[in-house]
Amino acid sequence: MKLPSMKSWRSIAGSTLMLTMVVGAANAAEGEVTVAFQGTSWVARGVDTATVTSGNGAIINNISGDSLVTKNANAEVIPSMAERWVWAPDGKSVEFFLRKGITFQNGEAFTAEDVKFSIERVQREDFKNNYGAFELRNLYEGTDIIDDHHVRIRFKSPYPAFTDRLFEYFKMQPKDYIEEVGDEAYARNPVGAGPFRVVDFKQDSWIEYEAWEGHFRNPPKVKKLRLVFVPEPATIVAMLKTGEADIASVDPQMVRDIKADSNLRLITSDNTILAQLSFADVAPANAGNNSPFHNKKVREAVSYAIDREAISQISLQGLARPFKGILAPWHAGYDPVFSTPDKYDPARAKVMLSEAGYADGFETEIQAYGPGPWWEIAKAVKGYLDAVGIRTKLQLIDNSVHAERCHGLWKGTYALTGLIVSEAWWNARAHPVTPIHGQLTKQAQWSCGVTSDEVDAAIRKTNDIPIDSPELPAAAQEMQRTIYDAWVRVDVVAGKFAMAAGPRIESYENVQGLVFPANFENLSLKAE
Amino acid sequence: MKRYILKRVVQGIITLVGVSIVVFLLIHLNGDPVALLLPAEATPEAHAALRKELRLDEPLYVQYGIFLLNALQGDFGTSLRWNRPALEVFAERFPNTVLLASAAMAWSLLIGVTMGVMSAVHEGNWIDRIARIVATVGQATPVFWLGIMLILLFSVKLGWFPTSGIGGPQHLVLPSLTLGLAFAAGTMRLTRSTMLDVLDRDYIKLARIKGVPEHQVIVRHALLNALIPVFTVAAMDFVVLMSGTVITEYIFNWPGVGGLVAESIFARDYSTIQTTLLVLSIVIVVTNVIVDIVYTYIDPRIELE
Amino acid sequence: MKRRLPLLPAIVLIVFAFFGIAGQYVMPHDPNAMSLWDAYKPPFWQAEGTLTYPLGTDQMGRDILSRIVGGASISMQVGFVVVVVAGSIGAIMALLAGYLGGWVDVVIMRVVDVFLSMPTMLIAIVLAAVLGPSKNNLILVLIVVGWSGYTRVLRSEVLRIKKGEFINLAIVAGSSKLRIMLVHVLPNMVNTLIVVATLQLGLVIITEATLSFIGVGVPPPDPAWGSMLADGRAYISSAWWLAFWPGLAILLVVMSFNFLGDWLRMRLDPRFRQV
Repeated sequence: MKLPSMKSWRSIAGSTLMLTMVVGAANAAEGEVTVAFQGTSWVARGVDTATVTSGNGAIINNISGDSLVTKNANAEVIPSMAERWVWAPDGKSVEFFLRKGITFQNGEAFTAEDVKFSIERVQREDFKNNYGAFELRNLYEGTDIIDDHHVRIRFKSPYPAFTDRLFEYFKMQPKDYIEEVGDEAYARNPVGAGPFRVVDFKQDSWIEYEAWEGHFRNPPKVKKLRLVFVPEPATIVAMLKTGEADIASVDPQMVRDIKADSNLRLITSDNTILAQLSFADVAPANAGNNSPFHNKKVREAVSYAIDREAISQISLQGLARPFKGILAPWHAGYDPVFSTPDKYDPARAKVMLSEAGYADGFETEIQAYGPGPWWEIAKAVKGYLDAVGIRTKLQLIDNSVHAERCHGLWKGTYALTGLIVSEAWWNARAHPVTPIHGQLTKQAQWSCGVTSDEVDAAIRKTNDIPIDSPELPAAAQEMQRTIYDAWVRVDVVAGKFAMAAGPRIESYENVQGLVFPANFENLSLKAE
Repeated sequence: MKRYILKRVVQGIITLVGVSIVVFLLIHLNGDPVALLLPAEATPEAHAALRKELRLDEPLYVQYGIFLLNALQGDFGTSLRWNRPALEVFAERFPNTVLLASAAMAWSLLIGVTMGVMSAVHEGNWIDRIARIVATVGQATPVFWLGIMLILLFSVKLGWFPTSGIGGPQHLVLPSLTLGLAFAAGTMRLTRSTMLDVLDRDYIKLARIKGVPEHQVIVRHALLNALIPVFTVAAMDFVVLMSGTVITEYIFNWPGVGGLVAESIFARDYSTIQTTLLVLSIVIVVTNVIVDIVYTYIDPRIELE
Repeated sequence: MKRRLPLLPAIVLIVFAFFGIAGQYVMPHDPNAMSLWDAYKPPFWQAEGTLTYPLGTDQMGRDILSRIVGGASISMQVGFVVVVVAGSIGAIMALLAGYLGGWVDVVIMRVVDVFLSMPTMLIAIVLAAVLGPSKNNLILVLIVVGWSGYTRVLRSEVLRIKKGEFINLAIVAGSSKLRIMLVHVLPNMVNTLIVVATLQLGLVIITEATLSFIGVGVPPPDPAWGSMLADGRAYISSAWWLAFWPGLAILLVVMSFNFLGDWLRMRLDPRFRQV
């Protein structure tokens, strides 16, 4: 286990002291910071972290929430409310040893009961939590309370991504308090275990936080944090320029205007997300149609038809790099040889198309959900495919509509054909299978059913190999090779996550591998 | 008079029934509304349950009847996105939209009437021309563009007002100005033409002959008379304004019902959309009826047309 | 008041109408042809600009001049189809309601009330979202929300015409109702219809731009001025030309239609002719 820096060491030691002595910290948090986020709120009920409705909800989860584990700046899973954990050899259960003497923001002691309560509460169907909870619901078997500070969580099948998901979606919530006040009141006056506590909020508009100096691990450096949801990107840029926002999330289209302003700077982190083109016609539901994409050579041709460098530099404004592969550099089995992207070679693509019998090209569709980078990728891909004769109709749709269609294709109830621009998060660094388990297995809802028998088998085989097994790298490479040969998708770019910071911010760092910011407690402001 | 009021109220009710039919059909346009009303990953059981609840196997007119009956009891369905009554979500935001629309109307009247009077008094000369060109430019600028330009000028360059959000009166200035300017052009044209009309009347000429100072002639004698139709149209415009806030609310991050519809579309929250359209239409119809009735008291000639 | 034809607006409209009809022969590039490495080229008079792309290129390296010319065709198509169809429906309804009166009038005017009582922009957005973005759906949406306005204005016109002496003469001469409506009333409505339609054209173009901004207008990559302007808003301080040219095109065309409409009103509308 690597620790981020001496600074964190000090704060961990300092806060443990503080808890026992219950005195004010010597270097108390100061100042206010406003964070602007594109989009509307991601929480269905107040600021109840069990009710986040989108992947972006992970941002909110990590401001006022804490969990058994957390991540350091290198995205490694490290202990937080649990001191350590032990996976069973079969990967189907994990035991957590909880840290003693820590409390929630209201002073309620944290015990094993809270763990069981929180892990089960987040799965409630009426909470609209469709992201992490969907996965958990399918895999969860039960939680055994061994003693006050020792729990065992059991799964129906190996679930190596669980510790990552704890950090993203499954935050600890105070059982006694919630049972006393009820869900409604809790959503209005939420209590978590994270570094900031919610002071006030207006649904959909903003959330105001204050530093919780009693946080055992890492009390924040700023006193007040204001999270504002802004739908329009041009407004976010204006807010950064006027200083109404100190730091904000950034879309590729905002990059140029931010770079043009010397007061603003971009903070990026690499290896966060993978963008690909999935071939919907590969899905079993489309077995009967006569799409040219059933021919593997045609699928391969797509890969040579697109200029990944131009897409990275121009369409995504440098917030990406050309990439091929599945595994991030930190995954077991990563091999740079497998990560060399296919060269842009439209002539070769045309030759391959004519060899496959489509010298005159053909017509098909591209579907991308957004808005944001995925639409930009889709527009560029359309241009490149049109140029080699694959005449595409572009369908830019919203995330929710995409989910519906993708799910329909998976179940065989919606006729989705052609290409789908899809994404895989690299956030889960624990196990090489995690980024693709939800994408390329037959059971996974996000796969849209786009996979093959061999790919499905290879992923499942790798999934069942524990993280620390010496067999894992070889299995992961074998899995990668199988996915390559199947050509069920074409990799496009590896994306970066970017935030823009204004002049008041002294230091802020994204967590590597994450497509959301998760460490505002480390953010510091310049001395006035 | 009583008969006219009664007739107008009955007409209003008929209009409301019509509106509810159109809104109902809008949601049923794609055939099965269950796909629209439930989340993507809903189970087949959930589909079946909702289908039963909405009685989708019944003929369309029966379904409409159920919909209307529920609406009359204040049940507009549950917001898919928030999992609570759609009417509650609407009601939370509606006051913000009324506030924005009122402020916008104030801008529209302030700018429109001022420019209209200036233009009419100086008919044909350069002031008139410039005023009319400015009004035409205002009408030819999409609201989203105007909003962004105002943010760049008044927030980024001059730093006078915040770019967005809701809070103090300073937050209200730019969004209401954006929306108000879009309507000021119409107000200006109307003020100009009614002013020209009034200025041509005999009693104005008489006042001038009697030596009443020009500014008094314009303000006290002409303007007050010219304003009656302007205010009547403004009352009608107000409801148009309220439904035209969608873009402004989006740009300025103003938490009103227009923005609610925009967000709900992306989230496919059709219960909320349905509720917003329906309740807004009710407000529009009721306002129109009231304006008509009040107007007959102000100007009895209009009656029974 | 002067009744001279507004020369400048007329020229603007002729130029854009020419672009709309023959644009494909004069545009220097394919408006949808992307060339990412040529993106963000400024207009020719700026340091990095070239005459190859006189007005510069957009975020995908497409020639802005060609897109403005191509956009003229789309805007004009949408504008004219909407105005002609919505205007015709509106006029027919007005004719039936105003001339026949009675229950026909009551029914039609109640339907008109319904459409005028709904939040137009919201209905348009919802309808466009339900139908899915495409040029034809956009036209349909604009017709659905647009026709009722014509009926309200034209119905009173029909009522006025109906009182005319020549209508009485026609009735005495034994003309059928249909004949009177088509031969005597309709031609007398045309002037007002043209005035209203001209003023509506500008409004349709603005609404199209607004719907494109929300993402329910003409789908990419087709060059619609509204979506060009909407796309360009993110580059105002780094590449102003992306938004400036389509913004200018919208401004010029909408203003020209409004000036032309005003002039036509003075010329054609009998009530104004007396003033």
